[in-house]
Amino acid sequence: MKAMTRTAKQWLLIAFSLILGVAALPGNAKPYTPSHSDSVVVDWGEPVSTAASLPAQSAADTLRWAARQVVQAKKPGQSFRYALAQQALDELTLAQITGAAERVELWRLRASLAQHSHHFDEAQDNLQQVLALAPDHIEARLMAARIALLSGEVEPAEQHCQKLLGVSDLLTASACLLEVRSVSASAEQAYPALKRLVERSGWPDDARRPWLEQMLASMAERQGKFEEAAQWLSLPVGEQSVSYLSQWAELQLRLDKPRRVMHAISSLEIAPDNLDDVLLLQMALAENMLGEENQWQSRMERRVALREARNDWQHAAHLSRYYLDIDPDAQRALFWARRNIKAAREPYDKELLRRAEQAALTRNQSMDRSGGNRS
Amino acid sequence: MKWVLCFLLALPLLASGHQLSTAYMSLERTDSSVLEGQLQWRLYDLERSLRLDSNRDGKLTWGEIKAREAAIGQFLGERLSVAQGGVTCTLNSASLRKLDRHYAEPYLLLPLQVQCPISGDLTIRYMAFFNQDADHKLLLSVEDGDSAISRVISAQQQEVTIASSDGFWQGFSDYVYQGVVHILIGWDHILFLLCLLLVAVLSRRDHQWQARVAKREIILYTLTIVTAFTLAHSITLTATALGWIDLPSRWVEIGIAATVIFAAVNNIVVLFWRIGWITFGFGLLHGMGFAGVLGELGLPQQGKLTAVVGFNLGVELGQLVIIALLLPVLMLCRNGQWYRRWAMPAGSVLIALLGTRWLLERL
Repeated sequence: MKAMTRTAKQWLLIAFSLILGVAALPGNAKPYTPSHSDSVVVDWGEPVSTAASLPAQSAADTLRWAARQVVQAKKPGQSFRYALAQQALDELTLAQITGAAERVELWRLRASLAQHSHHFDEAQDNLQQVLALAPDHIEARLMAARIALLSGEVEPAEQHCQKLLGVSDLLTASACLLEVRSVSASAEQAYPALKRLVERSGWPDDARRPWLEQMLASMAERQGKFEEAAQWLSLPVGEQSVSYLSQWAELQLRLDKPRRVMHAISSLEIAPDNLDDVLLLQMALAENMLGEENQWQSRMERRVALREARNDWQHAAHLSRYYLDIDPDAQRALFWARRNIKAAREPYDKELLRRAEQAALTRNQSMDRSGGNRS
Repeated sequence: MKWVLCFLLALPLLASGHQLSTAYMSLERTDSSVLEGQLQWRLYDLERSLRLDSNRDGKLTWGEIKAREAAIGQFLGERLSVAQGGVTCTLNSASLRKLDRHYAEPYLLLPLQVQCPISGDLTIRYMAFFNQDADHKLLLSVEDGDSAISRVISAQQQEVTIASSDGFWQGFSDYVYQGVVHILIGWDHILFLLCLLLVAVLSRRDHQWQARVAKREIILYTLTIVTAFTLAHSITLTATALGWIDLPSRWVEIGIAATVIFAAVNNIVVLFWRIGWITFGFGLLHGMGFAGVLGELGLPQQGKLTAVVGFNLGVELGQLVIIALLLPVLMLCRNGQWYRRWAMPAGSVLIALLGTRWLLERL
């Protein structure tokens, strides 16, 4: 009886997996006509209007609502909320916003959205508006410094951090400066200083904690101290942003722990087709390392095909990585790495370009040796 | 502190997230005045715009979609227009009969028939959902005989024109246009050219700049250096675009910045007076820079050479426009001592500073 139950369970599991597999198939299924008017063609779980329409009465309500969307959008599987926030802000006019604080918030949110879309110049313009109205706006300064650093503009980044001195607490201003110095000078110099600073000041019990943890992990990683870097980042995954989680996953992959990555990201219980590109990529990388069946790699292949068809250059780094480490194609890897470096110039982006150039060079040399045709 | 407000605030989570707002449209030319095909819209996008889920239970039924057929048809008419030869075509959509799925998301399939009164270039204008999602894109494919053309319509580019010419010239004008655009927005190339032009109206005598008297001489000199530049960048643009040579883009960009600095400094501290060969050498680097842009645009599988030639021609046309605008002005200014003593050196210094900034940024 026991054996029967086990067999039945196995069959049930197989059947369930098959149903899931078929449901997750991409859009190459044939068009169909629902058999009945009552046929449910999509179940969103709750009315789309609940999440997609703003229940705002005033401009201040709209701004608060948009700010919540932006915060929530940073979590895994929630990036569609950026579009909701954008629409809400687009419908606001400056004439509707009378208070200075509200105007500051509007520009800050616009900057946040522009940064997410990798429109860094636009984001900086919006932040200038914030800082013109509120020169001591700490978050705007930090964001401006971060974007400058992303764009490879070290001096402006440092200037923004310096302007925090005397405005913010010492921990915030110093951490900002040390992050810049980790790029302009070296991570080897900035890392121990940041560690000492955090030890002296104690961990803050607010949004700065993950910010500092990510910064320390990044500096350790750039020195090749992967074990140490991973120790700065803590789980559970459900509470972290996509950025935090992907940094953690990247380190686990470097430490040759792909199964931990697969377990952690799976535990988010997000439908694979709704998983953020970077997390999907890391699942595919983990699966590739494990040498298991290519379920996630196929999903990533489809996502890459869609991104390429859409010409979504904002995801160039992921595309380049895919063509380097999952489905090797040196030319495509180089194309996307070059596209990426035009917008993002952090150490990771430079390393990606270096790897892609090396891969292309190796390919060309091997083709030269074999007398192949490069074009 | 203000940013402490960044704590996560609980929001209702939709059972399925919605990462990529993509629509698909395919058209096939059945004769010179008729195109047939389909447009597919994601139900989530339509729901946000038209509220199809009439009982607001989060479950969309086929009946609820059918009930809003008229509204969907009106929405289509307002958001999509097609013209051929500059004349608006009639857009007909048959009744809703089918659904499709892309990336596990359900789509509504709208059959389309486009009737155009005259032949000519096909222009498609699309503006659905951009107000609710700036990342929304329409992936368009048009089949015309043996050729298939794909385009992406986005919030930034809501209109595309597809040339009616035969396969060989397909997209040629697009690449010419992109070439013109690139030279006109490529400040490093323009400033390099400007450095050459600033002194093209002058000649070097007794270690001093003197105005060239004969206009013919100026035009001949300009023609010589511009031809050297053009010839060189045409060679490397073609070779790089076709994959015959492949230098790291970073070093190419750094090299281009260095050429700008050199050309500007050479106007002030004259190291080389006859710069035809140097211009040729520098042109080789600029050509690789142009090829980088062409790489981003992508080359069609068929007609790569046509695209490269078109892009190159566009670059030359843009270059000619710049020369045609600047050279007459410089010719007018050349006799003034202020030009030789102040304007030309000051302009060169400014360009050298800009070049230095680019160099540092690219290092």
